[in-house]
Amino acid sequence: MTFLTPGIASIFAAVALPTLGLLYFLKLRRRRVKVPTTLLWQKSVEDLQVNTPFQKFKNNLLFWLQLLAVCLLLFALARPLLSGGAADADRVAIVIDTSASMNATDRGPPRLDVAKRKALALIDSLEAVPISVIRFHDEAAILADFTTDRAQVRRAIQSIEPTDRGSNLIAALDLLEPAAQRAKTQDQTLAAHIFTDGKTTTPGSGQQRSAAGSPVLENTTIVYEPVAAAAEGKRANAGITGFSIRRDLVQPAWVDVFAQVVWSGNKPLQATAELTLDGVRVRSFPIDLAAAKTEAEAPLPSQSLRTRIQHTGPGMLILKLLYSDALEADNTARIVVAPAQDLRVLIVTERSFSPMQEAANAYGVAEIIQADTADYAQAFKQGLTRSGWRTNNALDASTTTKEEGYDLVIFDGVAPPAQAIPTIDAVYIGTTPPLTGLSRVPHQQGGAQVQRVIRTHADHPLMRYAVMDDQVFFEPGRLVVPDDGVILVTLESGPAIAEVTRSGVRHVVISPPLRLLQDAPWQWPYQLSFLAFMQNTFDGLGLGELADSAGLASQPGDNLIWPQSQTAATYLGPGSSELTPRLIDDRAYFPAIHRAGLYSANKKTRPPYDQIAVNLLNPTESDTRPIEVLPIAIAATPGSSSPNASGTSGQTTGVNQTISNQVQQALWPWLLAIALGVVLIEWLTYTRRMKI
Amino acid sequence: MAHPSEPQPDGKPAGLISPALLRQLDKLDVVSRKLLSGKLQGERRSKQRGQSVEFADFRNYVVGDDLRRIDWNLYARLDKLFLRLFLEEQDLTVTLLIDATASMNYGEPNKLLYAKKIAAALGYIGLSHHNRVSVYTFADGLKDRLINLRGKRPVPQLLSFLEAIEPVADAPGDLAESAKELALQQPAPGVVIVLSDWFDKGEIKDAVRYLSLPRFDTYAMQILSPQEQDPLKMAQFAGDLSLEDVEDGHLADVSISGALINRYKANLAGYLDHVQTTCAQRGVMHMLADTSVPFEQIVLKQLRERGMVG
Repeated sequence: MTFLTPGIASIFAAVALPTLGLLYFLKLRRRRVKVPTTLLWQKSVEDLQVNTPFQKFKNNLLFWLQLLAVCLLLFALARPLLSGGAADADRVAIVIDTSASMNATDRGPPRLDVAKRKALALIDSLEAVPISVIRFHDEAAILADFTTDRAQVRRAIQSIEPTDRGSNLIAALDLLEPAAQRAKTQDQTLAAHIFTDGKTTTPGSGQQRSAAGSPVLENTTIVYEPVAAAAEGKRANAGITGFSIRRDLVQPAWVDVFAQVVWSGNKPLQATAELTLDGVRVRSFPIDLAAAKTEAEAPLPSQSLRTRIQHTGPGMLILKLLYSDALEADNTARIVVAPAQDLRVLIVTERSFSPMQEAANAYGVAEIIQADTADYAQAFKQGLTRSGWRTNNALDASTTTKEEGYDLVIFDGVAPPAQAIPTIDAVYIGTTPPLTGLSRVPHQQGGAQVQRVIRTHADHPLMRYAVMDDQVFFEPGRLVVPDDGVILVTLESGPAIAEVTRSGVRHVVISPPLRLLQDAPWQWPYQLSFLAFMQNTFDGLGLGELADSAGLASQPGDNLIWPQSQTAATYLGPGSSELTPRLIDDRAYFPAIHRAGLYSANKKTRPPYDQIAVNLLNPTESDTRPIEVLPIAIAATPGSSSPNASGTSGQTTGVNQTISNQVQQALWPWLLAIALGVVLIEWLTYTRRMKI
Repeated sequence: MAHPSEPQPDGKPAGLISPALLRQLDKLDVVSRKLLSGKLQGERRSKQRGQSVEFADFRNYVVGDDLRRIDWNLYARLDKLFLRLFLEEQDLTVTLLIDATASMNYGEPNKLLYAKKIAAALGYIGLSHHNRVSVYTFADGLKDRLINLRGKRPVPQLLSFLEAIEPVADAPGDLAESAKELALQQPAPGVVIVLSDWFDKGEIKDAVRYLSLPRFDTYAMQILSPQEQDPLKMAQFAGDLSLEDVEDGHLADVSISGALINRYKANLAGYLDHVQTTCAQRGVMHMLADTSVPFEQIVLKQLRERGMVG
């Protein structure tokens, strides 16, 4: 049995018990009533000792009943947990979830505070074994390596700050893997106490992960320490899990707004969501959602919201859920509305016509500027970076002929000189930029002219919907990719498409050169996969995503990279959070954002760089329903087999590895009920005695 | 018609006795169970022979006797001189001893007011029959007094005196000391009527001993209010209380309960029995007066039934 708040209970006990005793040893402060004589009363009462402040203790049933009730209440105040306890292990790892759902206040204090208190209580119950502290959200970090210094462990736990980020338990278990291996070699056991509400993204419940990459935790006992109990959930949560806008392609003045609201309560929800633009209410949405199922695996009831507003310029669009619930971070979603702006692409080629123009036209790029190398050198001198969104509410970018900079540069068959490497995202076709470790080996005479695709990086955003299984390339050559490069497509001859990032600038290199259709009818640019690839390129590279999108919003965990010239020194966010970017070259690199909310520049800055809207928009984190069984998936040790431990939905377990979900039962409701019963008996006894 | 003991509509206390009651009281007289000698000629027979119209006895004539009292008819028949003796009618000393301690200023109806009304009635009865009426108040000793009133003329003086009686503060009652002083200061035989609640923390046997001297025919009237007989009739008399004795400030901490109230009533009954027994042992007639009973009923009915007035 462990106690969550023994300190508070001790303080109250130190006050309440002596007070109760004094009440019986001290005389009551009685109401004074005048009577003709106390002659007869003197004979009638027994406690006539008026001259001393204390009286002899009399064995009184009421006193014992009251003492029992107070003791029960104090015991309940200490919040004892049954069957929790520390696992008997040589080493103990305390893993604490700091994701957004841990900020839910369904138990009164935030779940993270409960987790920290439980963790501190666990430390007190442990003997002198090495303890490690790991906190995790969508990333994990070791706050204290295995140490017997309890003060250090306590400080590490107390230093844990809440975030609004996602949750990835596997990332934390990855950090435990070396410790588990070390424990195995030393023939020791490791206990990992995971303090979480269970809302974690794990293989099988979200991100897919290959079994080979799953952590192997041997000689390890995993103890699930839930911080959200079904019986204690006083308040459920309604949250905005989707919020986006898009301008109408035909009528850019109209903005389509999409949102989604979910509800995790066990009773139907009727509420209102309010949409405001620059502080002016635009629309109210009635929210009417059915009760959510108690099974944590069941999807939450959701309601989609959609409306259309007319707005030509920039602004701040805020969707607010007018409902007080357990989690505040997902009740508001903001988005910086951008004025319509067209994509501006520079194609550098020595050809008279580049097939890339057709791809850009097919995508709908409004401004396609074709230049030769001389023009590119001139453009590089003037600066390739766009100055940001215009603030004149202009919808048609073509009316402004003297546009500055570009969103993307495409080099078709020509490479930029070393002194003019693009400072914006760029695509290189049939050539490579002069970057260290990156080069292209042309097709060798005598080699196979047609090369097939043997592997693609299907998970990469640029390869989305680009199916290249049956694609062949004609004399593609091959790339030599540096270690930090990402190979997107590999042919029989070697890498064909790769991405290399330098100073925040993404360089996508395509080895096969573009050829005219009559020269090679099967070539890639005339296939659907090429169009999908280029669409992903326009969407994902440089400011293309920003220029195409009607709104700008981030999520916790994002790392923003903005032009240095447009960025303020510091952005002040919710609470005491702030973002201070690091300035490298002409880019401003923001640290990872931890809290959702609106961050405002501390000095005057041009829109949209004056504000950063960060929204939670995470259905997993908005689901505050407690989970009784922690979904853990851990890879099995090759050559071994072990049955799944009860209470998990994981895949397999390793040798000598035990996974247990010890759902600690809170005893305080029972203690409170018993105390109330004792008080009732005490009242009945008193009433019977005082009956006249 | 408002009850005389009830307050007037203007808030002032009513007169002690109403005119209607006075007419009824005219028919009554204070009766002594003893034949006590008075000082002056009155309307009451005495042991002494004297001048009256009521024949008592004959005796032989001796030289010097008043010749006017010789029974000449008897002399004619017996040829001896006999003297006719007549009973001496003397006045009766009626002493009213009123408890003016703070404990008497209690209850609804108020005990002291009740005592003053009974004293007024008895005093009027005494004065209307040419008895000698004296009134004393006492607390820790005798306090105010109005003595040797006789005839109906001082009735207003008596009523004014009674109305002016106020409870004595900071003076714990001492009935024994007061009775002792009365015994010393009242040498005349007569009827003594003690109007008190008899709540005395001393030994009441001493008081009764002084009041039961042979020259006194003592009536002990114990006046209790309904609130004393049943404390629950007091307002807000519940819970944990600190009871303060209005006379000596003594505190008694109590927690009101049914058991405690029952024990109090038993103690009260025991105390009343103790007072009555003590008085009976000394020949003092004990009477209990409940202030909830109209005092006219006490005077006109109960006192007559007990033979105090007739």
